[in-house]
Amino acid sequence: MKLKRNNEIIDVDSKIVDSKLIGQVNDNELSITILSSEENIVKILHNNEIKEAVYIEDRDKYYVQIDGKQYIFGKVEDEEDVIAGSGESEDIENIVPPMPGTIIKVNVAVGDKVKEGEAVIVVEAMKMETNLYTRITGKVTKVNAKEGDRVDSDTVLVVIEKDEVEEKD
Amino acid sequence: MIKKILIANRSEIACRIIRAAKEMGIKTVAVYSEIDKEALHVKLADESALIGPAPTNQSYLNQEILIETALKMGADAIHPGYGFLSENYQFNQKVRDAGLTYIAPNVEAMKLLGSKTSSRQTMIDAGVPVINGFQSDTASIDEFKSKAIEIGFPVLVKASAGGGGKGMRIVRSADEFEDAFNASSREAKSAFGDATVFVEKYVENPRHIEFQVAGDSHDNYIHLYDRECSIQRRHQKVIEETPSTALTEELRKTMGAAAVEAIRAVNYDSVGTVEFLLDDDGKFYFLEVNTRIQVEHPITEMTTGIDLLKLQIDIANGKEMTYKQSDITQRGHSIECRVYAEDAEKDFIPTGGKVLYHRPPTGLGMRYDTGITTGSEISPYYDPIMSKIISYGSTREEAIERMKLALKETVILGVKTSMDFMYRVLCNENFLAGNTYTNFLDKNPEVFEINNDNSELAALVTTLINHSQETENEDTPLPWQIIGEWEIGATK
Repeated sequence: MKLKRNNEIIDVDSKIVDSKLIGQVNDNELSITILSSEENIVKILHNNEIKEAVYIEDRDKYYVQIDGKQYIFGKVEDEEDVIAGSGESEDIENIVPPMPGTIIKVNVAVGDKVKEGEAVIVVEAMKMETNLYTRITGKVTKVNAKEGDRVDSDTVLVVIEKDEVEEKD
Repeated sequence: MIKKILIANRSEIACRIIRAAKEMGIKTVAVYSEIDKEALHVKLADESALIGPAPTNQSYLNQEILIETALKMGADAIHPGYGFLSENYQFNQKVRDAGLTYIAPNVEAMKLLGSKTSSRQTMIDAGVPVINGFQSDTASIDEFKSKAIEIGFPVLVKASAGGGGKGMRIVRSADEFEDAFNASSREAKSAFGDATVFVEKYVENPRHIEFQVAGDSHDNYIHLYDRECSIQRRHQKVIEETPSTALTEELRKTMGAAAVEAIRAVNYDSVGTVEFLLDDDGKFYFLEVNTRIQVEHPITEMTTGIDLLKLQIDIANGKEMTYKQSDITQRGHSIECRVYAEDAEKDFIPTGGKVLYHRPPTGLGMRYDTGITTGSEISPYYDPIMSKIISYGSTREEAIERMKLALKETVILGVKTSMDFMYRVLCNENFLAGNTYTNFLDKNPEVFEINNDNSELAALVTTLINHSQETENEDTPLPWQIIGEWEIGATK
């Protein structure tokens, strides 16, 4: 099956042989021994280390906590979904708020050049102002927000396309 | 004597207050907004009342509704908790005018300490050291700017009305001043309903040391020792501990005495916190008095054995404190980690979501103050704090080790949390050495590096879910039933 994490597709497959879960994650072979198992929790032996994994499935996501860190995976039915769904590639960045909030300030307009790390928009959520930064250097091609707008966490606020010229430098 | 308290708050602190009240035989009324109907504090309280829609100005900040509800429900007191209206002296007055007890210091003390201008002058008069700064309720932005230039950059722009780092900006040059000033003012307005800000000299490389204090209406004033709160992100505390590694016994005594003088000067009659900045030379400066119970109050309770909530309620009842300064001793070491719904890898952006699975930590030297449970919704309307893990040990090392265990044992699935980030802080050598300054995260960027990536393992674990579904469909035993209990080293 295919999973999505941090905009990356992960190919994962497995089978249970005796007490072992043998699988493949992308190009890596992984084998873990399941020491004990109950609903939502498995104790596993991997590379001579015993670890506990707590996991749960909810709608379109899987959540797994190992060693105090939570890993969140999106379910992927087919790979094109991901590209269409996020509309994002290395050359295009969609600025999306992390959660519903209010637009405090829009620092850019269509046609503006922006540099990697530049704050393009300021959103207020949970009584905190948060700067949303661009991860790529390029040109603003779309601005869908204005000051005072209340926006949902899936709203694309600003679209930035990578600067071709600078790429060649 | 108080018989029924309305708690004008939510989440973990509301739960904490409800438990303290229950212990004292006092009835409790929880209030909730439309989206908090299923919240833990509502379930814990004896009674509850809906006070309005989710936005805070229509619910938890709606003064009239809160007082009306208290009267309607037959409560004779209101506890404000922290945040929201807790440091609003006008609300304090209104509650008292309605004939109710307000579990907070008297209006005059709150008003005086709530205003940076008046508290500063009071502290100077009381002989408590302060930082050079400028505050005015009427000055224009240009006046503020010229004062900032006079004080010398870097300066700090801060909200007059409240703490928590909301509305705070460091300004390093005159060009940045106007933008920072306006942003600070907007945030102050949104968080506290008051856009007034002030400017002060920014002390480089400071520690944030605060003293828990208590005063009663019988002219008794004590401190309950220090808390080191230097590990901060966005100027808001994440990890706190007591005792601070930075204080010598002598300095602790001097600062404690200054904290007591600070509250004596205003006839303070509740529990509170006197905050100081401490520089590398051991010089300390008064920051502010928080006229409420603090988020990090549990570490003081763990090391002094005194229940601060019960003390606060007793004082509100007009009782004289039974503790003298010489009765208060500190034993062992305690640490608090605040579990926020936020993404440490993305500049601590608040996350939110639904708690799908929740497992609290347990064991010796462990305390867990939570506002969530499995099924809780973390909404964008409120502060993203979910719970607090508090560890206790006879030494700092023991408290750290217990906290590390707890951070791995605690499970919150469905919402991104900062737990793994806090784990890395606890492992950091500068943290272990006690080199904790307010710029700790800037100076120790390695705490943001994920050093134990188990993402492939986690991805593999997700396949277990499908295996179990396959077997369910085939009406055969689930994988864990096939596998059964396994023991390391056991023969098959």
